[in-house]
Amino acid sequence: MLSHKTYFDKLIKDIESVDAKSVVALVSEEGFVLSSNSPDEQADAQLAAMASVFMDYGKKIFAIPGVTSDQMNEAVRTNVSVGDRRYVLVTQLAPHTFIIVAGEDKNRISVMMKKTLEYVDATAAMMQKKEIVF
Amino acid sequence: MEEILKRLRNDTPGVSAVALVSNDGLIISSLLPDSIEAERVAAISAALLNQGETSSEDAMIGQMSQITIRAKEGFIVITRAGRDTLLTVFTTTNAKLGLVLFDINTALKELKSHVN
Repeated sequence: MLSHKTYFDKLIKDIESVDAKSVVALVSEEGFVLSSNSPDEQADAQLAAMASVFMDYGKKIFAIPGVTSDQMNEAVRTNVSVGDRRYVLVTQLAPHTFIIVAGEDKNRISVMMKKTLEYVDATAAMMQKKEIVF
Repeated sequence: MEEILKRLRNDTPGVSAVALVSNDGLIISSLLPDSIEAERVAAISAALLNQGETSSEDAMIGQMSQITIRAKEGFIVITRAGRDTLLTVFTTTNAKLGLVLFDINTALKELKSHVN
């Protein structure tokens, strides 16, 4: 079985390859940093604290009645906030675990999002095969 | 059970010792370095459990589930693993507490069937 540390390190390296200047962190829903590429502990702790805020905000968006009941029941997978200079991407990787990416190159947002969503599916498949536990 | 403890100790950076201890201070299973005596770990766990339970009862916040101590040279995390069992983890200072707590939760899920 793969350790969380090994898996998170691989994931961070892979996502970081899209934009070397981006901050990538894995955080728990309690707001703890599980792994990150940031040497600044305070910065990644702030990102960790933002995870729950972003996911709550995302849930509110999906709570707006949609055209069909299916849309209303949609679970939030990812959430992107774009500012003047930076963007923050929060994706739920697995139960209780989020990937956070903060970057400045907005041209890479869609690639980043695609990449994190691919990891969501890959992680679910690994969990099914009992290659990793969450 | 030992396999689960071994994985927790070996796969989580900074974890130096793990032990499964009964509420009354007896070691059920442990992986400890030579510098740490099993009896001492068991005694610390039972004493902290007692203190934690009294405090959480007094504060009316329900049953204690986890105690974390941050010291100059590491952390001690004591988590309730079952009705009568505690999982005690010692770490060094370079351990990432978030990952330690996360891996403890994973280990607890796996231990559940054994301790209950």
